[in-house]
Amino acid sequence: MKDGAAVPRTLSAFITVAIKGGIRDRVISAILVVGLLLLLTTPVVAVFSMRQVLALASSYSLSIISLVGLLLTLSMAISLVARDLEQRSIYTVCSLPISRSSYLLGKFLGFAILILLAVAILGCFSAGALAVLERIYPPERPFAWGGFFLGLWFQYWIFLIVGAITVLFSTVATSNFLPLALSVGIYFGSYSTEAVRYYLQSGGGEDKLSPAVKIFGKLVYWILPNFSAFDLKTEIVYGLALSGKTVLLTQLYGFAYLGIVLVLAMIAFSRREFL
Amino acid sequence: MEAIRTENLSKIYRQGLRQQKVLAVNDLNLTVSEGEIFGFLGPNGAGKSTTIKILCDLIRPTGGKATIKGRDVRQPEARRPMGYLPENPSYYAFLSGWELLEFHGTIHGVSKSQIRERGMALLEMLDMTEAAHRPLRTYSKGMIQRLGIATSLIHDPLVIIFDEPMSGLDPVGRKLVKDLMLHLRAQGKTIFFSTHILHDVEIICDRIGIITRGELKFSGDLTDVISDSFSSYEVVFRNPEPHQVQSLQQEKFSLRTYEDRVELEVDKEKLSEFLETCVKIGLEPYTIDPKRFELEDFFMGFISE
Amino acid sequence: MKRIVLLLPFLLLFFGTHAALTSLRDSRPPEVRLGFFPPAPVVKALSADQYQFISQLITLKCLFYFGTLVDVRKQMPDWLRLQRALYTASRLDPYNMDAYYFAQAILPWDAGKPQEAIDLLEYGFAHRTWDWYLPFFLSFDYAFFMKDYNKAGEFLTKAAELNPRAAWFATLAARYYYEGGKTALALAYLRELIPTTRSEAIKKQLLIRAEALERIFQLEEAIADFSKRFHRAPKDLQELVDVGILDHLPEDPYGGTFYLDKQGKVRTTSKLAFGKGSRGGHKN
Repeated sequence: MKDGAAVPRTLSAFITVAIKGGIRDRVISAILVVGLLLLLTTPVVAVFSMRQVLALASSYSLSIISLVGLLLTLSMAISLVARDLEQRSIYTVCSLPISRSSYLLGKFLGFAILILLAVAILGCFSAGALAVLERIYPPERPFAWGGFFLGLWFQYWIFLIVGAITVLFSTVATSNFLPLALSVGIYFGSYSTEAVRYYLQSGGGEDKLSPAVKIFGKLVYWILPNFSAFDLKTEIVYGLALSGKTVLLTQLYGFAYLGIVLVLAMIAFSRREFL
Repeated sequence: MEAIRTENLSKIYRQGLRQQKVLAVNDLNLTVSEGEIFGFLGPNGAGKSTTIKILCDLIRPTGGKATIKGRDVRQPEARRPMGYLPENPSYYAFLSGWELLEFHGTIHGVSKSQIRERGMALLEMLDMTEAAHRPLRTYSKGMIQRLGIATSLIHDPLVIIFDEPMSGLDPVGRKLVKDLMLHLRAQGKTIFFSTHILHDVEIICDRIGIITRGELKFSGDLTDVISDSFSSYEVVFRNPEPHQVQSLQQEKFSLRTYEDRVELEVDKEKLSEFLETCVKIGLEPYTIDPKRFELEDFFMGFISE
Repeated sequence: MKRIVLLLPFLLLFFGTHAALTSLRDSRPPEVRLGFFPPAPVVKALSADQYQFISQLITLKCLFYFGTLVDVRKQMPDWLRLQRALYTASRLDPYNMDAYYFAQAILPWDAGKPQEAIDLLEYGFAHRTWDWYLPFFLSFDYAFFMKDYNKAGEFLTKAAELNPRAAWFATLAARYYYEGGKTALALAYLRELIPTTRSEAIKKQLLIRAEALERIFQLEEAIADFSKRFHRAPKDLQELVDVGILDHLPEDPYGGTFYLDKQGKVRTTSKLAFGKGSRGGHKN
C-alpha cells in the first residue's frame, strides 16, 4: 500500500523544511557566526596558560561550543512546536493526513539534523584551531583527539535531550515562554543533580536535612537527566582514559532518556486540542 | 455515501479556573452530499470553526462522531481526500509559496511532476504565479489566503473544507475564489465552507446549514429558502415636498420617513395605480425595486429567535 | 495506548542504565570530580556579569567535593586543585567570603598550606576591609603556623578595631602566648569559629580538630603536672599513665597515635589530618 512510503516521505518533508527554516533563520545564523568568532579567539586566550596551553584551549573552545550550542538548541527547539502553536501554523500542518506523532517526530528529526550540523561546524572549527596550537605548543602528553570528538558527540546528546524537553513542555504549554524557562532551568539543574546527590550522601546532608528534602533530592536525581555524565570536559582537557563501559552506558542512558521524553511528548501532543 | 457526516456531534469546552462548561457544539447532525457546495452559516461564535476543526481532528468531540467519506475523522487517513483552509491561515513564513506547495504535496504523496503541473495551474488560476518564489513573510493577507487555497487543493482533494475563504480578499480575489469553487463543483468535488457573508452564499451554494449557539437551526436547499417570485415593490423618493408626502398619506400608503427620503411598499398589483398617483401629485420615484424574500431575512429570523 | 507500550522499552533501558551509570560514576577517582577550572582571568572573561555567581558555584563545588571525600570516604582530597579552585573563586569575586572561610578552614591545617591561606586571606582583606574575620584568621595563621608574632599582633589589632569580640580574643591570645600554650590558643580560636560555622561538613572537621586539640591540651597539662611533681620531663606519654596522672592515653580522633617528640612536645602521627596517619605510618 501507499502507507509504507508515507512515514519516510513525511519525515523527509519535515527535515527539508526544518533545514530550510534553520538556514534562513537570521537569529540562528547570527548565533552560529558569533560562536565561530568566539572560537577564533581560542589561541589568544590559550596563551594565558603557563603550563597547559592545549588544555586551556580545549576547555575554552568546548565551553564556547556548549554555550553557543545551548542557545542554538533553545532557539530551534522553541520554534519546533511552540512557535507553530503560537503562530497558528499548527492548523495547516496538523490537518495534513499524518498522525500527531509523525508530526512531532518529523519536527524533532529536522531539529536533530540541524543541531548535528551546527555542532559539526563548530567542532571542526575548534578542532582546526586546536590542531594549529598543538603544532606550536606541543603538549607533554598527546592531545586526546578521540576524547575530543567523543566529548562533542555527548555534548550533542545533551542538546538533543534539552531540545526534547523543550518540545515536551511545548506540547502542554500555551505560551512559548514557559517551555523556554523550564528548559533553561532543567539544563542547569541537570548539571548539579549529581553534586547534590553526593552532598546528600555526605555528612552535611545526612544529619541536618529533613527526610522530605532528601527524598526530593533523590527524586530530582532520578527525574532530571544527569548531564554531568555527558560532560567529558575534564577527561578531554587532561587526556584521561575513558572506559568503553562508561561510554556505552552513557550512550544507552542518553538514548533511553531521549526516548522517554519523546514518547511522553507524543502522548501529550496526541491529546492536545488546537482551539 | 455522504462526503461529510456528523452524528450527534457535541463539544463542551471548560474555561477558566472554575472550569465552567461552555457548549460550543450541541448534538449536531449534518450531512453534506457528494458534489455539492454547502454553505455553513452562523454568527460569530456560533460553533462554525469548532465544527470544522473537529472535522480536521484539531479538536476532539466531547460526544458523537464525524466522518469524511465514511472514515472517522480521528484517523489521519480520513484527511487524505480532504483539503482544508483554516480561517486566517498561517504557514511557515520562511518558505516561498512554491516550497509550501511542495511541502504539502509531498506529505500528501503527490509526485514531483504532478506537484509541478497542478501547482502551476492553481497559482495561475489564483493569480499568484509572480509571487510564487518569494518568501511568505513578504505576502499580504490576501496573498496568503489565495496561496492557502492553492495549497489546500494541491493533492486534488475530493472534499474541500474552507473556513471563511473570502476573508482578507479584495473584490477581485473574491471573484477568483468564487469562480474556482464553481469550477471545482463542475469537476464533481464537494465543498463545505463557512462564512458570514451571505451574498457569497446566495451566488454559489447548493445547500446551506445555519448554526447558532452550537445548534443546527436549519439545513436544506438554498432554493427552498429564497425564490425568484416576489409580491411587492419597494419605492424610494428623495427629498419630497411636505405637501406631496401629505397627499401620499391621504392615499393610504404607509410611509417610512427618513431625513432625506421616504420609503414605502406597494403591492405588485397596485403598482400602476400607485404610479398614476405619483404623476398626479408631481412626485418622481427615485427607485422602484421588486422586494424578494432574501437569505438575510431568513438568517435573521434564526438569529433573533 | 499504543504509545504507552512504546514507552516501556525506553523505561526499562532507562532504569537499567541509570542505576548502572550511577554506580559506575560513584566509583570514579575523586579527582575527576572537582573538574578543571581554567585560569581566573579566562573564567572571569567567560562568565560575563555572572562572575559572582560562578565564584560561588566554584566554592560550593569545592565544598561538595571536600565533604564527600573527607567526610564519607575518609580520603585525601587533591589539595592543590582545591587551593587553585579557591584561588580562582577569590579572583572572580574578591568579596566572596565563603571562599576565604573555606580556605582558612582547610588550607593551613589539613592541606599544610598556611602560606597559601595567608595569601588568599590578605587578598580578601584588601577588599573586605570591614570584615573582622579576615584579620582574625590572619593573626591566627601568623601566630600559630608562621610563628610571626609581630604580624599576628598587627592583624589582631586590626580585627579588634573592627569587632570588640576580637579584643577579648586578644587578651586571651596574649595570655596563651605568654604561657607558650599554642594548643590553648588554637582551641580558643576554634571555639570562636565553631558556633558561626554553617556548613556541616566543615563544622564536623572543626569539631574533630577541637576534640583532638583538647586531648593534646589534656596531655600537655598532664606533662606540666608531671614536671611539677618529679622535676623532670616524662620519658614518654605512657609514663603519665604509669605514675597515675592519667587513667589512660587519649585517642586521636584522626586515627593517629599521640607521642612526645625530642623537644618534649605532644605530637600525633596523624598530624591532625585524616589519611596521613594511616598512609604515612609511624615514620616520625
